[in-house]
Amino acid sequence: MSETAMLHNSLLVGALLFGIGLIGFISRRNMIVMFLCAEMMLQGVSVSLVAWGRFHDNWGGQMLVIFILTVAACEAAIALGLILMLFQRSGRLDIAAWQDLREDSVPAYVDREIVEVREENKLWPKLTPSGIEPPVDPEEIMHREHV
Amino acid sequence: MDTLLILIPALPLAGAILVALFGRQLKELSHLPIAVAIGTSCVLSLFLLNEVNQKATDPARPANAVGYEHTVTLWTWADLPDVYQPPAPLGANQPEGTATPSPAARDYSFDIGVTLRADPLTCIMLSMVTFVSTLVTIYGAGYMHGDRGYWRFFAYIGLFVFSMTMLVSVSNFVLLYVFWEAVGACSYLLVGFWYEKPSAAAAGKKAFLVNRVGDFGFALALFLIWSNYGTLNFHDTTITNTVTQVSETTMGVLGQMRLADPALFVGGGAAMAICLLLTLGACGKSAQFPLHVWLPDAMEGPTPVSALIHAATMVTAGVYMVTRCTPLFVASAGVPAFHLGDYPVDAGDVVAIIGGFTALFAGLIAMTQHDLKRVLAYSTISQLGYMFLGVGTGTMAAIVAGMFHLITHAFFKSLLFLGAGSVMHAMGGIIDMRKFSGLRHLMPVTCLTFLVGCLALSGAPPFSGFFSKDDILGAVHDKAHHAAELGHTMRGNLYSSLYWVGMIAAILTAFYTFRGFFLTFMGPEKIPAEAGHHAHESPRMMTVPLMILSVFAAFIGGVFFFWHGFADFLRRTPSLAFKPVADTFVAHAEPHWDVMLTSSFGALLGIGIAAYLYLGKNTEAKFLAERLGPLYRLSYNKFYIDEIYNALFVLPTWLLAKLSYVLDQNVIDGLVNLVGWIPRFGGRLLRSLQTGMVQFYALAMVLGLLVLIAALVIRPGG
Amino acid sequence: MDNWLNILLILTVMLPVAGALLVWLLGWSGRTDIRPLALAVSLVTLGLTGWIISCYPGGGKELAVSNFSWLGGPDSIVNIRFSLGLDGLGLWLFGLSSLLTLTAILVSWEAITERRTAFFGLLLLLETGMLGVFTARDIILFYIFFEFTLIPLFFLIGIWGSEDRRYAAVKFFVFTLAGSLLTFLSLLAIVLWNYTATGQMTFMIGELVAGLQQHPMDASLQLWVFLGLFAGFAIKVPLFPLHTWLPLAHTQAPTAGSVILAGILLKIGTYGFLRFSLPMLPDGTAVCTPWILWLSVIGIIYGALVALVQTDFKRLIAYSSVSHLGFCMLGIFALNSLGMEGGTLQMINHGLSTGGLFACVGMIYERYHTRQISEFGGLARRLPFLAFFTLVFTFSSIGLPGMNGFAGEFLLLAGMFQRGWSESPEQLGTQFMWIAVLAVSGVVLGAWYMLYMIQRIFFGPLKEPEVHLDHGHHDHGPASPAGTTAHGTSAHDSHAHDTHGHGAIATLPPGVPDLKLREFFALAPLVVFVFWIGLYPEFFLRSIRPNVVDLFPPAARDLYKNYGDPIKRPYVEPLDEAIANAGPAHSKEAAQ
Repeated sequence: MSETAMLHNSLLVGALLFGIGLIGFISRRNMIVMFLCAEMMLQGVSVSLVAWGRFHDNWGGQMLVIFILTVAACEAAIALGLILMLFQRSGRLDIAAWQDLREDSVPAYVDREIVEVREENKLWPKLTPSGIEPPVDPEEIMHREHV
Repeated sequence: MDTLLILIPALPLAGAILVALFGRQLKELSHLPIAVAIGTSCVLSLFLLNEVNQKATDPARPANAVGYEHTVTLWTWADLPDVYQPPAPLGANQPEGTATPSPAARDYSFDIGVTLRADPLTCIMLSMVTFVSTLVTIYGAGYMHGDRGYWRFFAYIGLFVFSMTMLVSVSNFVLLYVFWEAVGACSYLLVGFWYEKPSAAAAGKKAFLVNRVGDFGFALALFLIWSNYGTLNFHDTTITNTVTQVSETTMGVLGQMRLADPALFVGGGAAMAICLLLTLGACGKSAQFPLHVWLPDAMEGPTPVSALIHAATMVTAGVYMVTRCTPLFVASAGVPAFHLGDYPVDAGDVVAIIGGFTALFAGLIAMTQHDLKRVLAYSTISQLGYMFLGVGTGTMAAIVAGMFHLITHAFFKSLLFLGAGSVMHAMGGIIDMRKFSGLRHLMPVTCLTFLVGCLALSGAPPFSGFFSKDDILGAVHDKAHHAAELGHTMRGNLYSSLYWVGMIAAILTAFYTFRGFFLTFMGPEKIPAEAGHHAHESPRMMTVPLMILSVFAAFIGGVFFFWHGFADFLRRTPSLAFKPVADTFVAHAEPHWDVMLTSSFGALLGIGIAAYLYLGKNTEAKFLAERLGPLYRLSYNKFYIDEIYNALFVLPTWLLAKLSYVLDQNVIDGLVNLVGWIPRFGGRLLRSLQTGMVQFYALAMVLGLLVLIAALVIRPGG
Repeated sequence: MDNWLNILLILTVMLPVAGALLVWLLGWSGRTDIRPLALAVSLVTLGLTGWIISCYPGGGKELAVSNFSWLGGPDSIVNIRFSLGLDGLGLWLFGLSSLLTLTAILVSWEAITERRTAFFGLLLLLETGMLGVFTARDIILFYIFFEFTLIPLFFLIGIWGSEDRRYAAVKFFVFTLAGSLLTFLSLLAIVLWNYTATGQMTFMIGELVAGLQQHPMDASLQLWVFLGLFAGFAIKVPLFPLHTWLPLAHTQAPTAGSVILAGILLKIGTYGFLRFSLPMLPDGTAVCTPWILWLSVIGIIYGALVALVQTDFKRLIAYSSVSHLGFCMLGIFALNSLGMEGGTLQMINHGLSTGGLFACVGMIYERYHTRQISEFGGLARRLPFLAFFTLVFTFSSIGLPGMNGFAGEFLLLAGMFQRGWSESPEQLGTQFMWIAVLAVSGVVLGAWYMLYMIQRIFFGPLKEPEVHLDHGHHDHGPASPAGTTAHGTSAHDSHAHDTHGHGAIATLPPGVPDLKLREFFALAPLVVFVFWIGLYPEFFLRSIRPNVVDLFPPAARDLYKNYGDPIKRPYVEPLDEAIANAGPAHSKEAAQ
């Protein structure tokens, strides 16, 4: 296979990956799936970078891909953490449940209604304030559900 | 001489500062520093007068010297070098035949020093001011006794005397203006002395504002003088350049160098404008016709203040200023636009007309007032009108007569005011003549001294007012005669009508003066309830100044009249030694016996009418008042001048002000808010894009990316 | 040469910032009373300021010029330098900033009860901003200080203001900022023009002036650049009709804020015109002069009229500022030495008198907690000393001769009139004369509204709003000097007997205290300067003059006359140093 053909094929694969990821990101509501789609877009870009790197006989592309992988790993950790938090708040993975960052005058848009099952009254552990001794409520210590 | 000149104003200032700082400790002794300071100033003024007199009349002086002046500069107020070059050459519009050594075109400096001057005019004013002030201060110590603001009163008085002595002794227009306003401020403080009385506070403000209107004219006149002459100093100044050692002399506006040659004065419309604006300023301070409204209201102040400021000293500042600026007024003749029939009008004529009219006008109002102090206030306006008539007439005799009247008036009018104050003191602050009468037994000293004042004011023969008023009328008469001889019919007619106006005003003067005297001191004894235990003759501290003043009021006129030294001394003032004025001087002029006879007759007529109407039961007076209803009301309501001014000036300004405020709040601020609203409106438009949906944002990003890519692809050559 | 002086100048300018940091550091817990510290810092700053000013040699020299590389460097394209220095234009405003900060701190001593630490820190921060503006020698540094004054004042108004403070603060901030961004563009345009003309990238004001005088901008470009500068400076001044933020900000600001806003911040606008517009853009100035003069005179009359009908005394004084700043602008744009010197002097005068007035009415507000004039009457009985000081500042503000207002007003009006009289197109001259005449009538109106206010507040029968007598005291720390009432009213009442029965109240019921010692010291220095400038203006004019004349060399006089036909102005070498040394009055021969 010639270098050009190989480049073309790789770019095609990359573009496909990117496109699938993009479409998935825009059309799906499940946060995990959206995250995976975003990763897929990243991989699409990585593939094309590797392809270009090879085509130009330059290690820059590969280097950048490794860099992207690192970043993606961090990103994954943060994103999954966020998703976990959101899930714990609402008990569900639907992104449509989180539209709070909109203007007051704009109505929430949901194409299919979702049943509201937030568990607001659940007691979550708090971070201990650093530096100063927090006021301790003996009752709370006695009746804490879990640490 | 320098020390004297500096000490005369400095002493009252020092006294004022002392009292202001330690007044609360001095308490009832607060009058002492002021009285001592002003008294000393008075003595020093007389020394100065003597010294100036010796030097000015020294036969060894060069014959061609234009008057006598001596200046001393304390410090430089402002000195802006080379700021201006007057555009038009000086000496335009001058009568031909005078060589015009036009000063070299060069940049003039705005050089104003705190400069005091001594010349005959200043010395006379200084002596008069400090003398009357001393007496009034002593009187005030009795009058204000027990007042809460005792020390404050004397601090203000000291400040006033300082300002007034400075006013007459400074030697440039800027400082003249400075102290011109400073005496106005002292007047504001003193009129509003009993600030808890709303009418007093309002009167003080009114006095200040009306004076400000006059000062508006004065300030513009100053700017015009600066723009035309390139200096504001009276005297000639010399500056030596420290580098090149070249001396450069700037002619003062009224300096001896300029006075030596009439062609060096600016003529034409500018001169006319300068003089008319100066006249406006003088009218404000001296309460002449369009701007006289503040003086009667100013009677709200303590009576010693009325005597000192609003009768003897401050209000004569306008006369002083016009006298000082006589050369400017003379130079204003010959503007083609201002003609009176066959003769060009000069600004002096305007002054004379204003003066004559005011003399009559104020006399008419004074006839019907019930408030003794207001009668005296209108009488002051009227007498100031005489002085204006005198100085406006512009011949040496008339100017000297105007100044002569200024002096005599200072004595007899302050005497009258102090007498009225004595009555007021006894009546517990009541000064309405309907509420008391027949006080001659209760207050014999006051009654007698007041009578002397009344005789002097009405111009009864041997008293001082007689001589000074006759001098003015005689000078006006002469001018009319002279103009007629020269064939200036209209001018002759003008002055002869002014003469008759003055004569009628003299009758009115005698009438209202004695009306006041009869209503107060004659008739059945009647004392208002407010008088309480005060209803007795005033203490020695008040009556002694009355007696001293009455001696002067009685005799000073005669002394000056028969001793020609006054005119001879005064004419050595540089401004009056100006050639066109000096040429009209006649040594040992024949007294105007005809004028004297007419005016004595007029005075007696006025007194007679007053006696007929107001001695006895006053029924005729009431009858006359009813029969002449509209005229009476017109006079009683002061020709509705206050109301007219209110409707013409005050109300429109208020409406305009209200309108401006509404405009400000709605239109101007509205426009600003409109501009502020534009971004907000834009935000509102874009607001619906903020949906909070993650996918929407992602889509927007993709679309944006596509647009970018499309732009890159489609871009020609890209 | 004066190496130690330029270090001293930097120290003086930076000392308040250090003070502010220290104040915040010490006062963070809220337990320490940091007011004495703030006072000490401002006093030291004032002392240093006085010291530097006393070292000023005069003759148009620049004093204590420091010059450090700051952003970029001499070899990079951007060479913004940290350069401070003083000359005659900024000298007295520099001093006034220190003086008024002291007044501001003293009047806030008890008036501010919440978040004191933050307040006094911000005041000190503001002081650095003001000192910096008047000393900056680099155009970017100037702009930074120029904007830097905004931020502390924004917080001062927004946090410690009256009922409408948020709105006022935002309006003040946005209005001023909007203008000053355009100013920034113009400043950059000046720098870039100079770069293209001389090939030298410099931000130093002195070099820019020299460069632009040698290579003047195109006339049309000058106009645009001038208008850009105008946007920022005219709003700051504020020139009619851009003034509406001012009454609002003044009314809502705490006393200290009003004092500083009126006293100093407004002058930055006029100072900007003097420092940048006039020397750098002569053609633009010439074209705009008639317009600006008309706006100024409209502002004079209009401000006075609106002040006449105010019912709120702070708002009244705010409108009077609009009127008075009109006078300053009139003087500056008379474009002759008389007018410009008068205008420059009037900037200082207005700072003293209006600053003092705001301090005085602030003291009344602190006692009674209302600003409505109608609620007061006869306060001269209750507060004689405060009445005295208010009267002094009032007289000064209406231009009573012998006090500072007169000196400035007279010079600038004479200058304006002279301009009209000697203007060569006669039509324009007539126009200018009318402007001068109208401006003089503004003086009459000025006396009217001020005396009307005095009459309503201080004269007449005593009438005061209800106060809880201990109101002003409940929040004092134990160390506060609340008990040091310097001059009680009792001494004044010892002669209650009034023979003339002029409606005096025999004995005064207890009420709010008269001036305290602290308040006396807040006002007294201003009074000293009020009289000093009034009686001996030459002392101040002497150091202002050479710089004003420098801005406006005599050769340019002809240029400004032909305003419709801009000519390239020849660059005039500064006067020979020997002659400049010889003193202001005596350079006639050399100048010709």
